[in-house]
Amino acid sequence: MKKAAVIIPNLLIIGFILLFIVRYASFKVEESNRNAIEAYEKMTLTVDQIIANYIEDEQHLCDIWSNYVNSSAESGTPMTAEEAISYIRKAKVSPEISGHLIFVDDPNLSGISTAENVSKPGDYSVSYKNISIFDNLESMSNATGVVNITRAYTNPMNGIQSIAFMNYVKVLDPDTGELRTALLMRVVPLSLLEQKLVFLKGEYESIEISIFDKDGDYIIHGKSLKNSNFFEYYKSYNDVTAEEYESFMQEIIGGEGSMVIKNSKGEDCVIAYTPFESLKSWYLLAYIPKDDLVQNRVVDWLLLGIVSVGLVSLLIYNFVILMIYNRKLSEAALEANQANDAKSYFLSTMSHDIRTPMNAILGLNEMVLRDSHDETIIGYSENIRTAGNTLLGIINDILDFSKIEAGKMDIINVDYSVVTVLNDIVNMVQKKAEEKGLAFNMDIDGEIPMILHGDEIRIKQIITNILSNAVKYTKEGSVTFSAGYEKIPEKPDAIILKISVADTGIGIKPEDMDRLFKAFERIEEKRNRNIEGTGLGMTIAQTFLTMMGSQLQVSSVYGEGSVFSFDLEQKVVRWDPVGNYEDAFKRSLEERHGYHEKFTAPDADVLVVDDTPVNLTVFESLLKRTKIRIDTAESGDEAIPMYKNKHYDVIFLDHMMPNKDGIETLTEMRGLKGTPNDETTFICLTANAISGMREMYINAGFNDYLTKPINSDRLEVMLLQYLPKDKIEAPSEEEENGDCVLPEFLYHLDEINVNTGLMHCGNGDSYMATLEMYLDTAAKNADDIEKFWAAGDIKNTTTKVHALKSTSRVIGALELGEFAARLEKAGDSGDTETLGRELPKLISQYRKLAEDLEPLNELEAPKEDDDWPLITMEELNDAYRALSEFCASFDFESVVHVARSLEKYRIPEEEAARVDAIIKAVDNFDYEMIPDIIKGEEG
Amino acid sequence: MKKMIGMVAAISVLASLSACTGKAPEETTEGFSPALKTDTACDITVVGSYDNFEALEAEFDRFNEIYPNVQLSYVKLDDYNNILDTVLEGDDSPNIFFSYTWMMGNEKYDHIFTHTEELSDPALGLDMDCIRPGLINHDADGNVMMVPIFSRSYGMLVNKDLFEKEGLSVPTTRAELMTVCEEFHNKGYESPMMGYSLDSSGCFMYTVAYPMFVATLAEDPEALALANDLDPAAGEYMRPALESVEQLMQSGCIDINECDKIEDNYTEVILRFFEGDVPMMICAGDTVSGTRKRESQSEAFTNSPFEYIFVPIPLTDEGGYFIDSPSVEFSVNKECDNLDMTNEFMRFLITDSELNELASVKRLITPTADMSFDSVYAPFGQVPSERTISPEIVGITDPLTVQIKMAAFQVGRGDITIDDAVAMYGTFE
Repeated sequence: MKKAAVIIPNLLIIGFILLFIVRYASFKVEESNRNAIEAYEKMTLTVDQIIANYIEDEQHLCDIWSNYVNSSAESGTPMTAEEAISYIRKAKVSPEISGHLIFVDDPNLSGISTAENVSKPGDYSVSYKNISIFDNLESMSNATGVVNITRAYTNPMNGIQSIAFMNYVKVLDPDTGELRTALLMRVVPLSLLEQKLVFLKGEYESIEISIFDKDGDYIIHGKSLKNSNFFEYYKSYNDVTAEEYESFMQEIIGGEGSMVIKNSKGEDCVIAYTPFESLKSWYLLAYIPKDDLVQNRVVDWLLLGIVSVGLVSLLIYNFVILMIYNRKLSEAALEANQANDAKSYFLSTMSHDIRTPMNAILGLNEMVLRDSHDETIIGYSENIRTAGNTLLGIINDILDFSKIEAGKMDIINVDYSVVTVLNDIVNMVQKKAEEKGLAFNMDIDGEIPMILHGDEIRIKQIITNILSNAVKYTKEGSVTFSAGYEKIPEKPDAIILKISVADTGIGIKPEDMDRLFKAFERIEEKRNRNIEGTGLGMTIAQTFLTMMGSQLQVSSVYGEGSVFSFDLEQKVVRWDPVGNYEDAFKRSLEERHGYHEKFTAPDADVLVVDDTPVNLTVFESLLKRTKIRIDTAESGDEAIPMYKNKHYDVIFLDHMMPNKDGIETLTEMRGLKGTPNDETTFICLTANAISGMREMYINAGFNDYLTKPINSDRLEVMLLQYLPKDKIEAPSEEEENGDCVLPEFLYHLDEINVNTGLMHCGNGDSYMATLEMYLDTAAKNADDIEKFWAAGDIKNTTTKVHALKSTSRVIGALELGEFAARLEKAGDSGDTETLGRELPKLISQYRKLAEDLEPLNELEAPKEDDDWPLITMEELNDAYRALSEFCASFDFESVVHVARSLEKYRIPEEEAARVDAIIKAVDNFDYEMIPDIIKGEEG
Repeated sequence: MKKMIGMVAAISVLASLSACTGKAPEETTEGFSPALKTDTACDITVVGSYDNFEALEAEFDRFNEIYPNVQLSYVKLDDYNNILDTVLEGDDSPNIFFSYTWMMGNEKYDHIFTHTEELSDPALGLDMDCIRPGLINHDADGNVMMVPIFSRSYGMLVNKDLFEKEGLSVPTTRAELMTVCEEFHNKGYESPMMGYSLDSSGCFMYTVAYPMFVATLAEDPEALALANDLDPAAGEYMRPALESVEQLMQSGCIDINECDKIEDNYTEVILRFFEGDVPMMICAGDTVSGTRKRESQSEAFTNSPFEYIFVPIPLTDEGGYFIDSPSVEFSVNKECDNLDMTNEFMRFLITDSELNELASVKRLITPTADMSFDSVYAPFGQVPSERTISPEIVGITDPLTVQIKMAAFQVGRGDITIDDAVAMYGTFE
């Protein structure tokens, strides 16, 4: 290929040069030929003039003779024929020229010649009886200056081909004494006329001059022009139609010009023709073989050959030199490739080797965070987590950039959940923003389709990079993350996902815009030196977007902030809207503070296989509170006997293991039949966090995969999904610091799932408080629903049913929640029939649940308000301020905590309504209303 | 890649070779070895009575392939027969000139033969054997002063396609001829045989009568002597020939009125034949020479071409006669300039191949023994030797031919009877 890349262009250049030479030579030859033909035509005109002059001269001499003879007659002393001939003998100078005096009224056209007949010495009589040259005598003019000329004929006196110039004379007939009209002929051998053309031989060696009359009969006959008639000659040797022949004749006798015709040998010859101006019907024709006039050889083959050989020699020489250099370059390239391979190997090794200890660091740090109660230690540990995550991000960036540079970065499209992506993104960034004291705002369009098709990992990476940057470069104010979409009219199964991130950061100077996407470039390095990062984030984001057919748009005002945005076309897999993401997120936030295991499963058995013992320790630690029984193995071979002998509910296999990797181990295990684990779930542990991994591992036989460093939440969620339901139990109360013991009767209520309620509420206290609130509001809510329904207020009925759905789900009343959800949907679609039919049932179930929860009121008698201390206004304002801040940072758990704490005080009368409103908002999960309630009162 | 380099190198080498290649060595015309230096430069002139002699000019070109510097030209002389002697006496005398058999023994032309070269001289190397013996004339001393380049004969053009169309065969005997004529007549052909009839020169009556008269005389030397002497007693020997003319007309083979529509004895005869509705056109071989060139001039023939041949008129039960006479002959002016080169040209020309080529281009009967190369004349080559008559060998003289020509013409036109014609022998002019 490389050789072809050298040879082919060289050959093309050589070809071009040769073609140019040929074309240029052709052009020059054509130009030269045009000039030659023009000169040839001019020469023809010159010859025409010479011959015309000569003919006029000869006619003039003939006229002198005739004038002299006629003047004698006019003067009364006419000459006899003999006297006239005698005069002419004396008058003529050239012996080659003779004079004939012919009596045209004589049937034998006889007369006298100045010269004797060569075959009959002494005989001067001449007869033109058998020579037809006087056919047009009647049109002959005797006016001076008019040429009267015969065709070429054989002089009967000497047999020489001649022409004759004529004029009439009056001579005396001695027999009758009368004047008799005779024709005086000045007979000139054709050779004399031909001599006038000798000078041409120097210039045109092979030129032949012919003169022919209007019928094409030759006066002077060029030797190469066969036939006695030029037109016949043309017809004989040129394949022409009758029309073409006629056209040819008209062109020839019509004026001057030149053309190429075929001669008797089939060769091209150039003829130039012109009429004699002084004659009525004579035409001059110059003939020359085309090869003798123009250069037919377009190319000088010797020149072309030498150039060709020269160029080919040059090519071969260059090729040899190139080959030598290529060999050296190949060796250098090989070395470079080896170095590059080493780098690639290093990077890929780094990917795994750094992630693995990072897993240990971050995992063990997570344990420290969970188990330590020392604030100093927790602080150190938080710093370790932050630094570890930053380091992980930097490593990921460098690896991604290396892949992009190597062209190994592919876009792998999969179906993904928008909510999951948003969760991951916001989870990653929101905390950072909080830590910097920034407001993290979200504007998520609830109508975005739930499941899209695209490169989930890269999209997440792009948005995370942008958001991380926004947080990094914003000192105060907010970062607003917006996600929306637009439908594409021409593509019904796709949307444009519109993402934008606005910050109130330092902004970007216009002159720095171009540097924004350059790798390793950091804008205002000096000013931002304390901001960590590689300078690759935007480059990677832009590259990914380019690969996905999009582009990152940036608008920025220096000192005020920036907006990064992009539009991305994504196929839609499911059009169900994501719904109110902010609500969902708020709930998730409630669950976030502090680690609480989501469940316990003391009867569950899990096997985890990883070649790194620390990872095994981390894994065990992360699941310690779930009480799951965990067996570990450090290799596939070690795990296989365990697999054969003991049933495991879930088996985690690390992908990258020496000797026998996770996939090979899985394949071998799956191949074993009759083990206790035929139905066991396999989950792959991998450090390769790239798109398409899920498909790859599922294709390999795994049920799912989990990326390292292992996120404990994800791990627990995954176990919740795959562990048998009968082995899932509520989180251990003992581990909840013993602050809340759920009443036994709750576990016996069919309507609620305590574990789900606990999971949603985070801990027993929160769950109990939520249940109590649910119970407290149930009667009023049920009444409100009935009231709104009775009033025909569908909108508010639906809103209330929506609230019932949410609260029921939170406490684990899943069946009631689903029932409410169906009716909410009916309400949204205006399905009053369903509402009318089902709503009483819903309210009935709602009231039934409330009734079943009544024992909660008996567990703790409410304290009397009087027993509670009166809260001061200063304390109350502090509480308001805290509530506002917690709301702004979405720390709703703290909001609940503060609100609940207010219940333990007596509230000043003037603030009682506001506090009630706040508590009610908390009860109804309307956290976003709290700042307004506080502000409204203040305002 | 190696192949590509190889191809380029090969092309380059070829290009180089072609660039270095000089002019190919000249090749001599096959069968002829030049005896003189091929770079000899001189002029040779051939004079004659033909307006055009492109066939000869083609030979000039072929000769120039061997002797490129020899300028050969053909010049048509006005009043050829009368001026030839003057031309030969003049300062610009030609190298080669047309001569005719009838010039021999004619006092008027005796002087001409004082200029001619004896062509049978072995030193000249002319291949006289390639010519049919009956066409070579020897003078009283046995010298050959002229050599035929074309032959002349008499016969009829036959439209073979028309015969085929009507399901008839070309006649080979008198009886067949009569039958065929009757068949054609019955099929609506007014004049199955046609020919020029307006003037004695080239008239069909002469073409019919002459071969029979010559055949009659050839068998009877005494009669020939009487006839040559224009003795009225020889008139009786014309009778069979004249009767044949009369019979063809009276039997309906020839409709004189149709023939009279043909205005000249050459071009119009050919063009009438090319109309395609004339089964047989009586004419001399000289007329046939004009057929090729006029094929394209005839719109009818161009639109509906047909195959035609020239055959002897079958006027006897055995068939027709091939009257094999020299047409144009070449004589060499022994006093001309460049005589060596002139003889070299004659040696070049007088060969089977060149004479056949000459005859083929001119569409005349070749004087060589092989006549098969031209399909039109090929039938004459098949006439048996006993019916092939060379008038010059037999001793037919020109005055005699005038007698039969005029007698046949006048009888044919009905101006005189056969008896009148017989009686008038010797008096026709």
